[in-house]
Amino acid sequence: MQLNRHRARRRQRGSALIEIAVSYGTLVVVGILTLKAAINTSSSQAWTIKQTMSDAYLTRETALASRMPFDDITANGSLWELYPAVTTSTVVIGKMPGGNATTAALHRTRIPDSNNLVSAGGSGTVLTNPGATEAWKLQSLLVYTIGDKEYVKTRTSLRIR
Amino acid sequence: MRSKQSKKSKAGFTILEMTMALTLAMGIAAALLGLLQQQISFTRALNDFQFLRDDAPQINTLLTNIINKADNYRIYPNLASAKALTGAVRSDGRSVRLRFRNPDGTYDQAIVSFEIRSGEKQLNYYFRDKASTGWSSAPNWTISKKPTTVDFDNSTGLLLVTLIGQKGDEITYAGNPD
Repeated sequence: MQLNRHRARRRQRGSALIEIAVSYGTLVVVGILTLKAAINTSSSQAWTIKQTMSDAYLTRETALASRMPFDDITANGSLWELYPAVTTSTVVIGKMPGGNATTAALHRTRIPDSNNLVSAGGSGTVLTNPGATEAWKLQSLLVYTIGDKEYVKTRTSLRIR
Repeated sequence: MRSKQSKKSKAGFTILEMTMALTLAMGIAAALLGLLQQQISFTRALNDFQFLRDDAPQINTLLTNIINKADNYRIYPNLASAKALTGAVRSDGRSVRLRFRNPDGTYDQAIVSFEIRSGEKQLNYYFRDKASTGWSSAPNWTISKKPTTVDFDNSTGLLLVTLIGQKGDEITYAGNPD
Protein backbone atom coordinates (compact mmCIF):
# COMPACT_ATOMS: atom_id res chain seq x y z
CA MET A 1 0.00 0.00 0.00
CA GLN A 2 2.79 2.37 0.95
CA LEU A 3 4.71 1.31 -2.16
CA ASN A 4 1.74 2.26 -4.36
CA ARG A 5 1.41 5.68 -2.70
CA HIS A 6 5.12 6.28 -3.19
CA ARG A 7 4.86 5.41 -6.91
CA ALA A 8 1.87 7.71 -7.35
CA ARG A 9 3.78 10.60 -5.78
CA ARG A 10 6.74 10.02 -8.08
CA ARG A 11 4.43 10.01 -11.11
CA GLN A 12 2.87 13.27 -9.94
CA ARG A 13 6.23 14.95 -9.49
CA GLY A 14 7.64 13.83 -12.83
CA SER A 15 4.54 14.77 -14.82
CA ALA A 16 5.22 18.54 -14.61
CA LEU A 17 8.56 18.05 -16.30
CA ILE A 18 6.97 16.00 -19.04
CA GLU A 19 4.24 18.58 -19.55
CA ILE A 20 6.77 21.38 -19.82
CA ALA A 21 8.89 19.38 -22.22
CA VAL A 22 5.82 18.72 -24.37
CA SER A 23 4.98 22.45 -24.25
CA TYR A 24 8.47 23.35 -25.36
CA GLY A 25 8.31 20.85 -28.17
CA THR A 26 4.94 22.17 -29.32
CA LEU A 27 6.17 25.75 -29.16
CA VAL A 28 9.23 24.95 -31.22
CA VAL A 29 7.11 23.20 -33.86
CA VAL A 30 4.59 26.08 -33.95
CA GLY A 31 7.46 28.60 -34.12
CA ILE A 32 9.10 26.83 -37.02
CA LEU A 33 5.81 26.50 -38.91
CA THR A 34 4.98 30.17 -38.35
CA LEU A 35 8.43 31.25 -39.47
CA LYS A 36 8.19 29.11 -42.58
CA ALA A 37 4.75 30.55 -43.39
CA ALA A 38 6.09 34.08 -42.86
CA ILE A 39 9.07 33.46 -45.14
CA ASN A 40 6.86 31.91 -47.83
CA THR A 41 4.42 34.79 -47.72
CA SER A 42 7.16 37.44 -47.74
CA SER A 43 8.82 35.76 -50.72
CA SER A 44 5.56 35.70 -52.64
CA GLN A 45 4.97 39.36 -51.78
CA ALA A 46 8.41 40.31 -53.07
CA TRP A 47 7.76 38.24 -56.19
CA THR A 48 4.44 40.00 -56.84
CA ILE A 49 5.93 43.43 -56.29
CA LYS A 50 8.90 42.86 -58.58
CA GLN A 51 6.52 41.60 -61.26
CA THR A 52 4.48 44.79 -60.82
CA MET A 53 7.62 46.92 -61.04
CA SER A 54 8.91 45.17 -64.14
CA ASP A 55 5.50 45.43 -65.83
CA ALA A 56 5.41 49.13 -64.97
CA TYR A 57 8.89 49.66 -66.38
CA LEU A 58 7.95 47.92 -69.60
CA THR A 59 4.97 50.25 -70.07
CA ARG A 60 7.60 52.98 -70.37
CA GLU A 61 9.54 50.97 -72.93
CA THR A 62 6.40 50.39 -75.02
CA ALA A 63 5.52 54.07 -74.81
CA LEU A 64 9.05 55.11 -75.76
CA ALA A 65 9.22 52.68 -78.68
CA SER A 66 5.89 53.99 -80.01
CA ARG A 67 6.88 57.65 -79.74
CA MET A 68 10.56 57.71 -80.68
CA PRO A 69 11.07 59.60 -83.98
CA PHE A 70 11.85 57.16 -86.76
CA ASP A 71 15.09 58.89 -87.67
CA ASP A 72 16.31 58.52 -84.09
CA ILE A 73 15.47 54.82 -84.13
CA THR A 74 17.63 54.12 -87.16
CA ALA A 75 20.36 56.69 -86.47
CA ASN A 76 23.83 55.85 -85.19
CA GLY A 77 23.72 55.77 -81.41
CA SER A 78 20.09 54.66 -81.46
CA LEU A 79 18.69 53.36 -78.18
CA TRP A 80 17.90 50.15 -80.08
CA GLU A 81 21.10 48.92 -81.74
CA LEU A 82 20.89 47.00 -84.98
CA TYR A 83 20.50 43.27 -84.35
CA PRO A 84 22.54 41.22 -83.44
CA ALA A 85 24.15 44.10 -81.52
CA VAL A 86 22.37 44.91 -78.28
CA THR A 87 22.46 47.98 -76.09
CA THR A 88 22.57 47.02 -72.44
CA SER A 89 22.04 49.21 -69.42
CA THR A 90 21.20 48.81 -65.77
CA VAL A 91 17.97 50.52 -64.82
CA VAL A 92 16.15 51.19 -61.58
CA ILE A 93 12.65 49.76 -61.90
CA GLY A 94 11.41 50.91 -58.51
CA LYS A 95 12.09 51.06 -54.81
CA MET A 96 11.06 48.56 -52.18
CA PRO A 97 9.66 49.57 -48.76
CA GLY A 98 12.64 51.08 -46.96
CA GLY A 99 13.81 52.84 -50.10
CA ASN A 100 16.13 50.16 -51.50
CA ALA A 101 16.36 50.50 -55.26
CA THR A 102 15.44 47.48 -57.35
CA THR A 103 17.52 47.22 -60.49
CA ALA A 104 17.28 45.21 -63.66
CA ALA A 105 19.28 44.83 -66.85
CA LEU A 106 17.65 46.32 -69.93
CA HIS A 107 18.64 45.03 -73.36
CA ARG A 108 17.40 46.70 -76.53
CA THR A 109 17.77 45.75 -80.14
CA ARG A 110 16.07 46.56 -83.44
CA ILE A 111 15.39 43.98 -86.10
CA PRO A 112 14.70 45.01 -89.70
CA ASP A 113 11.93 43.38 -91.68
CA SER A 114 13.35 41.02 -94.28
CA ASN A 115 11.57 42.94 -97.04
CA ASN A 116 13.16 46.26 -96.13
CA LEU A 117 15.42 47.60 -98.81
CA VAL A 118 19.10 46.76 -98.37
CA SER A 119 19.77 50.31 -97.22
CA ALA A 120 17.32 49.71 -94.37
CA GLY A 121 18.80 46.44 -93.24
CA GLY A 122 16.63 44.07 -95.29
CA SER A 123 17.03 42.08 -98.49
CA GLY A 124 14.08 43.52 -100.40
CA THR A 125 14.35 45.08 -103.84
CA VAL A 126 12.39 47.71 -105.69
CA LEU A 127 10.44 44.82 -107.18
CA THR A 128 9.41 43.27 -103.85
CA ASN A 129 9.12 46.58 -102.02
CA PRO A 130 8.34 49.26 -104.61
CA GLY A 131 7.10 51.69 -101.97
CA ALA A 132 10.38 51.47 -100.04
CA THR A 133 8.40 50.66 -96.94
CA GLU A 134 10.55 50.33 -93.88
CA ALA A 135 9.56 48.22 -90.88
CA TRP A 136 11.49 47.64 -87.69
CA LYS A 137 10.80 45.51 -84.68
CA LEU A 138 12.01 47.26 -81.54
CA GLN A 139 12.62 44.71 -78.86
CA SER A 140 13.26 45.48 -75.20
CA LEU A 141 14.21 42.74 -72.77
CA LEU A 142 14.19 43.31 -69.05
CA VAL A 143 16.21 40.83 -67.02
CA TYR A 144 15.77 40.80 -63.26
CA THR A 145 16.26 38.40 -60.41
CA ILE A 146 13.99 37.39 -57.57
CA GLY A 147 15.77 35.30 -54.99
CA ASP A 148 18.02 32.95 -56.92
CA LYS A 149 15.87 32.90 -60.04
CA GLU A 150 16.33 35.06 -63.10
CA TYR A 151 13.34 36.32 -65.05
CA VAL A 152 13.10 37.88 -68.49
CA LYS A 153 10.26 39.97 -69.84
CA THR A 154 10.14 41.31 -73.34
CA ARG A 155 8.09 43.84 -75.27
CA THR A 156 8.25 44.27 -79.02
CA SER A 157 6.93 47.27 -80.90
CA LEU A 158 6.55 47.39 -84.67
CA ARG A 159 7.35 50.69 -86.35
CA ILE A 160 6.59 51.17 -90.03
CA ARG A 161 7.07 54.08 -92.41
CA MET B 1 5.08 7.68 12.74
CA ARG B 2 4.65 6.42 9.21
CA SER B 3 1.67 8.64 8.62
CA LYS B 4 3.59 11.73 9.85
CA GLN B 5 6.39 11.08 7.36
CA SER B 6 3.90 10.61 4.56
CA LYS B 7 2.18 13.92 5.36
CA LYS B 8 5.52 15.71 5.45
CA SER B 9 6.57 14.49 2.04
CA LYS B 10 3.21 15.46 0.52
CA ALA B 11 3.28 18.96 2.00
CA GLY B 12 4.92 20.66 -1.08
CA PHE B 13 7.68 20.79 -3.64
CA THR B 14 11.32 21.32 -2.90
CA ILE B 15 13.05 24.61 -3.74
CA LEU B 16 14.86 22.90 -6.58
CA GLU B 17 11.59 21.65 -8.08
CA MET B 18 9.99 25.06 -7.75
CA THR B 19 13.00 26.83 -9.30
CA MET B 20 13.06 24.42 -12.18
CA ALA B 21 9.33 24.71 -12.79
CA LEU B 22 9.45 28.51 -12.64
CA THR B 23 12.46 28.68 -14.96
CA LEU B 24 10.82 26.43 -17.50
CA ALA B 25 7.55 28.33 -17.27
CA MET B 26 9.40 31.60 -17.84
CA GLY B 27 11.14 30.03 -20.82
CA ILE B 28 7.80 29.07 -22.30
CA ALA B 29 6.45 32.56 -21.68
CA ALA B 30 9.52 34.08 -23.40
CA ALA B 31 9.12 31.74 -26.34
CA LEU B 32 5.45 32.73 -26.65
CA LEU B 33 6.41 36.39 -26.58
CA GLY B 34 8.98 35.73 -29.30
CA LEU B 35 6.31 34.08 -31.42
CA LEU B 36 4.00 37.02 -30.91
CA GLN B 37 6.76 39.47 -31.84
CA GLN B 38 7.51 37.46 -34.95
CA GLN B 39 3.85 37.52 -35.94
CA ILE B 40 3.68 41.29 -35.41
CA SER B 41 6.80 41.86 -37.53
CA PHE B 42 5.35 39.63 -40.21
CA THR B 43 2.04 41.51 -40.28
CA ARG B 44 3.94 44.81 -40.42
CA ALA B 45 6.03 43.58 -43.33
CA LEU B 46 2.86 42.55 -45.16
CA ASN B 47 1.38 45.99 -44.60
CA ASP B 48 4.59 47.61 -45.88
CA PHE B 49 4.10 45.84 -49.19
CA GLN B 50 0.48 46.92 -49.50
CA PHE B 51 1.14 50.16 -51.39
CA LEU B 52 3.16 48.56 -54.18
CA ARG B 53 1.06 45.41 -54.22
CA ASP B 54 -2.47 46.83 -54.16
CA ASP B 55 -2.67 50.61 -54.21
CA ALA B 56 -0.15 51.61 -56.89
CA PRO B 57 -1.50 49.26 -59.60
CA GLN B 58 -5.06 50.46 -58.90
CA ILE B 59 -4.03 54.11 -59.11
CA ASN B 60 -2.13 53.39 -62.31
CA THR B 61 -5.13 51.68 -63.89
CA LEU B 62 -7.38 54.64 -63.05
CA LEU B 63 -4.85 57.23 -64.24
CA THR B 64 -4.11 55.35 -67.45
CA ASN B 65 -7.81 55.12 -68.26
CA ILE B 66 -8.28 58.82 -67.63
CA ILE B 67 -5.14 60.02 -69.42
CA ASN B 68 -5.63 57.80 -72.46
CA LYS B 69 -9.00 59.45 -73.11
CA ALA B 70 -7.40 62.87 -73.24
CA ASP B 71 -6.14 64.29 -76.49
CA ASN B 72 -3.82 66.74 -74.76
CA TYR B 73 -2.09 67.10 -71.41
CA ARG B 74 0.13 69.63 -69.70
CA ILE B 75 1.98 69.44 -66.39
CA TYR B 76 1.89 72.14 -63.70
CA PRO B 77 3.61 72.51 -60.35
CA ASN B 78 0.32 72.74 -58.45
CA LEU B 79 -3.45 72.92 -58.75
CA ALA B 80 -3.64 76.72 -58.80
CA SER B 81 -1.21 76.88 -61.73
CA ALA B 82 -3.11 74.18 -63.55
CA LYS B 83 -6.39 76.04 -63.13
CA ALA B 84 -4.81 79.32 -64.24
CA LEU B 85 -2.83 77.69 -67.08
CA THR B 86 0.37 79.35 -65.90
CA GLY B 87 3.87 78.07 -65.19
CA ALA B 88 3.71 74.75 -67.01
CA VAL B 89 6.68 72.48 -66.26
CA ARG B 90 8.18 69.33 -67.72
CA SER B 91 9.35 67.77 -64.46
CA ASP B 92 8.57 67.85 -60.76
CA GLY B 93 4.89 68.48 -61.46
CA ARG B 94 2.10 67.79 -59.01
CA SER B 95 -0.82 68.47 -61.33
CA VAL B 96 -1.64 67.46 -64.86
CA ARG B 97 -4.32 69.23 -66.86
CA LEU B 98 -6.14 67.15 -69.46
CA ARG B 99 -8.26 68.16 -72.40
CA PHE B 100 -10.93 65.84 -73.83
CA ARG B 101 -12.25 66.61 -77.27
CA ASN B 102 -15.99 66.05 -77.69
CA PRO B 103 -17.57 64.80 -80.92
CA ASP B 104 -19.06 68.25 -81.55
CA GLY B 105 -15.63 69.88 -81.43
CA THR B 106 -15.99 71.34 -77.94
CA TYR B 107 -13.73 70.40 -75.04
CA ASP B 108 -14.19 69.06 -71.54
CA GLN B 109 -11.26 69.50 -69.18
CA ALA B 110 -9.92 67.78 -66.10
CA ILE B 111 -7.08 68.20 -63.64
CA VAL B 112 -5.45 65.37 -61.75
CA SER B 113 -3.71 66.96 -58.81
CA PHE B 114 -1.68 65.73 -55.87
CA GLU B 115 -2.30 68.12 -53.01
CA ILE B 116 -2.79 68.49 -49.29
CA ARG B 117 -6.40 69.16 -48.30
CA SER B 118 -7.46 69.40 -44.66
CA GLY B 119 -4.03 68.12 -43.67
CA GLU B 120 -4.40 65.01 -45.82
CA LYS B 121 -2.32 64.13 -48.85
CA GLN B 122 -4.67 63.30 -51.70
CA LEU B 123 -4.62 62.61 -55.39
CA ASN B 124 -7.73 64.40 -56.61
CA TYR B 125 -9.65 64.68 -59.84
CA TYR B 126 -11.32 67.90 -60.92
CA PHE B 127 -13.64 67.94 -63.91
CA ARG B 128 -14.98 70.85 -65.90
CA ASP B 129 -17.35 70.14 -68.74
CA LYS B 130 -17.77 72.35 -71.77
CA ALA B 131 -20.71 74.21 -70.22
CA SER B 132 -18.90 75.14 -67.01
CA THR B 133 -17.29 78.54 -66.73
CA GLY B 134 -14.91 77.76 -63.85
CA TRP B 135 -13.39 75.04 -61.73
CA SER B 136 -15.01 73.85 -58.54
CA SER B 137 -12.95 74.42 -55.42
CA ALA B 138 -13.61 70.91 -54.13
CA PRO B 139 -12.48 67.91 -56.12
CA ASN B 140 -15.09 65.85 -57.96
CA TRP B 141 -13.38 62.70 -56.88
CA THR B 142 -10.48 61.59 -54.72
CA ILE B 143 -8.51 58.98 -56.62
CA SER B 144 -6.40 57.93 -53.63
CA LYS B 145 -5.09 59.05 -50.28
CA LYS B 146 -2.34 56.44 -50.13
CA PRO B 147 0.66 58.03 -51.89
CA THR B 148 2.87 60.47 -50.01
CA THR B 149 4.01 62.00 -53.30
CA VAL B 150 2.84 61.80 -56.90
CA ASP B 151 5.22 63.23 -59.47
CA PHE B 152 4.34 63.98 -63.09
CA ASP B 153 7.26 64.23 -65.51
CA ASN B 154 7.57 64.68 -69.24
CA SER B 155 11.28 65.37 -69.56
CA THR B 156 11.85 62.20 -71.60
CA GLY B 157 8.95 62.86 -73.95
CA LEU B 158 6.78 60.37 -72.09
CA LEU B 159 4.33 61.20 -69.36
CA LEU B 160 5.83 59.43 -66.36
CA VAL B 161 3.83 59.15 -63.17
CA THR B 162 5.89 58.30 -60.10
CA LEU B 163 4.00 57.11 -57.03
CA ILE B 164 5.81 57.15 -53.69
CA GLY B 165 4.42 55.32 -50.66
CA GLN B 166 4.81 55.90 -46.96
CA LYS B 167 7.75 53.53 -46.58
CA GLY B 168 9.87 55.13 -49.29
CA ASP B 169 8.58 52.59 -51.79
CA GLU B 170 8.37 53.92 -55.30
CA ILE B 171 7.11 52.89 -58.72
CA THR B 172 6.96 54.75 -62.02
CA TYR B 173 4.39 54.14 -64.74
CA ALA B 174 4.04 55.52 -68.22
CA GLY B 175 0.88 57.60 -67.95
CA ASN B 176 0.10 57.24 -71.63
CA PRO B 177 1.55 53.88 -72.68
CA ASP B 178 -0.61 53.63 -75.81
